[in-house]
Amino acid sequence: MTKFLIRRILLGLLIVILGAFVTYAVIRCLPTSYLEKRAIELSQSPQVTETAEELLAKLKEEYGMDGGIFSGFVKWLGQAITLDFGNSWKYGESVTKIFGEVIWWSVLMNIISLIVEVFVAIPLGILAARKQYRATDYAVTVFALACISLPSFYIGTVFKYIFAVKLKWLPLYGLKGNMYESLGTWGKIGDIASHLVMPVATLAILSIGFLMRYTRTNMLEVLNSDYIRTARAKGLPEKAVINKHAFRNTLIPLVTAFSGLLPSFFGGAFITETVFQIPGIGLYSYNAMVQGDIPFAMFYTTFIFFLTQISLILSDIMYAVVDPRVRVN
Amino acid sequence: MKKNKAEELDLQEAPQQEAPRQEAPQQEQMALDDARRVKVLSPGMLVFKRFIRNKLAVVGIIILAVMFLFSFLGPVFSPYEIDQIFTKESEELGKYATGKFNADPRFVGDASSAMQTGVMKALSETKKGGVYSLKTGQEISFSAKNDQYNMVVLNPDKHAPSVAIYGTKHIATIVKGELQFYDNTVVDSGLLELLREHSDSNSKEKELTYNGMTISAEITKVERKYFIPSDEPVALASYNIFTSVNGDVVDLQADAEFLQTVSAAVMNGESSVTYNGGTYTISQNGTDRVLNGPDGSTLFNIVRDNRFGTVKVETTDKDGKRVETAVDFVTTIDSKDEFLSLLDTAIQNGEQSFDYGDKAYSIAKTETDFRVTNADNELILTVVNSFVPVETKYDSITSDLNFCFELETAMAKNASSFQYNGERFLLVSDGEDYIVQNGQGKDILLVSDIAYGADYVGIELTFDFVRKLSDAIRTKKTGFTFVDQYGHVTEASVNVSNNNYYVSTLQKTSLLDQRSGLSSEHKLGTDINGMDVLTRLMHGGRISLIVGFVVVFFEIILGVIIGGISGYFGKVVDTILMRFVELFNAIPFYPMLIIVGSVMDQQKVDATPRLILTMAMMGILGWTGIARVVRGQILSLREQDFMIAAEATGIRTSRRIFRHLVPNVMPLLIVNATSSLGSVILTEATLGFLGLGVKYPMASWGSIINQVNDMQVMRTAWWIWIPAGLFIMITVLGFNFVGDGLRDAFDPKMKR
Repeated sequence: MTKFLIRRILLGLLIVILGAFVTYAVIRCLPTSYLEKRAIELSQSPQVTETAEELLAKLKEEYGMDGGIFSGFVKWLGQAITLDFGNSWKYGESVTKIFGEVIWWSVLMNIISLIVEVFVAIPLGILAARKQYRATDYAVTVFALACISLPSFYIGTVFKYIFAVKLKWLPLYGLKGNMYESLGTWGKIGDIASHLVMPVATLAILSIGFLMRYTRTNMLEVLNSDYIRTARAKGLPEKAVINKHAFRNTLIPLVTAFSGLLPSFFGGAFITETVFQIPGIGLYSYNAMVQGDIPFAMFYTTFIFFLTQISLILSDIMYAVVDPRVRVN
Repeated sequence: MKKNKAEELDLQEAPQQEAPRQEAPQQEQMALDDARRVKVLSPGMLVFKRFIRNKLAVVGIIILAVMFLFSFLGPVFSPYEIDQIFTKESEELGKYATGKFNADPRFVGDASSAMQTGVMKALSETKKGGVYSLKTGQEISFSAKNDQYNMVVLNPDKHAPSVAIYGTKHIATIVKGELQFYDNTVVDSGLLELLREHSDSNSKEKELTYNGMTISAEITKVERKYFIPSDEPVALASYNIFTSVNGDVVDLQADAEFLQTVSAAVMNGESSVTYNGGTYTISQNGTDRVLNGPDGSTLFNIVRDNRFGTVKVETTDKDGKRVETAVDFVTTIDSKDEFLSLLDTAIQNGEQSFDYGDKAYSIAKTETDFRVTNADNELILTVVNSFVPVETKYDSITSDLNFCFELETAMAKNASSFQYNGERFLLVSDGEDYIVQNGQGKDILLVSDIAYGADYVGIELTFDFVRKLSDAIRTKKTGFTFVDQYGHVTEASVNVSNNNYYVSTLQKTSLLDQRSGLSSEHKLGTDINGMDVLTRLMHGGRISLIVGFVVVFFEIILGVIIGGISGYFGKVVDTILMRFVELFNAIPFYPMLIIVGSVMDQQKVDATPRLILTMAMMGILGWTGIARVVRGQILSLREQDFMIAAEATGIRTSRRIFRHLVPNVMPLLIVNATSSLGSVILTEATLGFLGLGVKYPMASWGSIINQVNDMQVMRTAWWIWIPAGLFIMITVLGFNFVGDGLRDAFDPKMKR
């Protein structure tokens, strides 16, 4: 098992580095004129005495854009290993510093929405499994499929339209209201909470469908297994059969599935954060990438590669934890 | 469980088996049970029946059919094109002109800037409580740049007074008791005595009187200067602004075609001309003719203008040689007047020739002029009609000091007429303004202290407008009608802000028919570009669906090839390819597309290549899922007996893969492809929403919703974005229903 894990981790690292290289190559191959634009802008400022060409050469050197793709990547990698991802072109600050500032909003939002999902999707999934082929089942299935079919930006906008524009119950976007600074501690929490209602609901609805179907499938499988029949045969009340015998066994695949959700925790939700202007990692990296901010884009994609690998390794470990057969192989 | 399900399926299928039997009773007798069983279990049919039995799947199929019809047939029936832009005529209040009470006096005559400053200063010193307090005839003296002036109030209006400024005449200077300068036309011995006395006594008296003459003294430490007022005003300061009534005359004068037409009519002796629908009359006034406008106003005096030519004259130069030189004809005749009167008579009598002196001259009439030639056939004279605008002669009058002086005096006295240059002008009050009329009682000037200006180049403010504006401002009206420069009666509304009166008129403009709601013309309204939303939804659906199919097709090809190779060969090939798949799987999808999309934005890539590139990117980043499924399936199929049999027959590897393995992967592939279609459409819509997908004027459902980023659209124009989102949702739902149904139908064991 240890050997397997070490191999898996090494492989993960290799994929992170390869992925970063692919991203770097793609970005470098694109004819982005951002540096030229920036050089021209800089040369027009009165304090700067160099010409645009000189500035461009300087900027290229500064960002490691003067050499070939491979040498540039090696240079980037050398810095990245020491967690130095350079300064963002758009925000003008250290990429890691910005990341540290904004990541927690994304994480907070995702954790809340995960809790909501769990409390909505799992009971509904179980209910659907118990009433298989009945109206309830159909309703839950259609609801789950509808959630999967919803475009995230659309459901977000519809929420905004209904609750912010028409009913005026909730703030339209952002994380803090205008009066935020003048509020007390509880007022501040309430303000942020009211701003988070719609984004969290959007995120939750998007994932509820998947989780509901997953729960239902697994629950059905469990319900059809022999030990459930045994439990029923020995005259246990249905409540006990479902809650004690069946549900606990459904948890095993669910827990494994959750470990796969890790990247989405830290990766932020691009669309939701953009629609609601939540200053999380998704919105920041979206804004940076739209502007061709190479340091930020490189950092963010590498981070995503890293998260994906971690989550894969985690789910492998989780499999091993919950299923002893895996441990042997 | 499996057994249970199979039983259940059999039970459910039972009635279906019955059906064909009833329809074909003859077959029933002949057919063997086994044969019928084989028929019933035909795999394709079985799948189809299981699929049909699934209600959700049927609903999905219906949804998709409707969407396809809508997207692919809809545009054929739509009356509009995808990029057809609709406009609407709208009448909106637009800025027209601005008026305000004139805040700075207007100076007429010889007014230096120092004098102007002096006048303003002197006037403002008389202000009490923000208004001028002056009396008619009040005299105020002031100095400006060492010059002494005197001004006399003509009109003591509280807000807009007018004053005549009189200069002073410097008559003497006494420096330290010594007479340095004196004007002997004014200063006689008696006056001189008075001045000396004034100087010697070191009197501080600033005004002296001598023989009824007021002498002012300017006393400094060094010298004393004496002035007497001059009786002619040098300048006039007035808040009044003149508007003259001659806009149309100026326009007509510049119209060569009009002048030619009138000229020709005069030559033909006609008494009226029709031009541009208006009838102009020509009347005789002595030897001149007068052109009257359609409204009877006098526009032009038509004066006969004689343009003399040259004739050749033989002279002798100093060497005694004879030389021909050209000289003006006029210089060769004794009396120009006599010649011209002879010519006039001849023209009036319609004669073609006349005699002057001992020579005969002939007159030729052309369309617009008379040409007089001498016996040598030299053109000595051309008689043309010159148009002298009757009213423009009043235009320069407004800057004439004497005219203004007479006018202001008359106004101050409330007189009904005044004389200027021997001409009589009538003064008619028009509210608080005055209208100056000429001797014939025709309006020529409006005098008002309202300053005005047109808001746009091209707007010419008519006399009527200025008059009505002035009236509206004084009577605090909020609107009035006037005749504009094109002769249209126009409504104007007046808004006051900061003492400025803003006049707006209804102006017709052609606007984009933006965000207009549901109507019979536009069943789903129009979007922010003024395009029909329904039509764009149809075309957008086409693109969304096509993108879905192309991308999924691309994904399947890549996925089947790589998954197939990986699964079939296994071992090292599998390991390498699967690492490759993992790598691609890890590439973050949206960040990649956002970077590429923003670069395409920068490079301004056209809509079509952009779409193709986006589809390629989506395919390249999306094939890994299918590759995994195919690999997994092939790994398990490879070990089955039929593959061993195929291998035993010794057929080619490629044939083994594509003839025997791939068809067995097909069901799973179809299920996967159907679900992918839905997710690709979603992805494409998301890209469109972020503004990175399909670009204007092309449309996809996502890019239609993109307009919701404009808050105005979200708040007020639900028809632009709500239907597009519903279409996306319903279509994806349809694909998911069908995908689910297919999966259940292909493999009942996996059912849910």
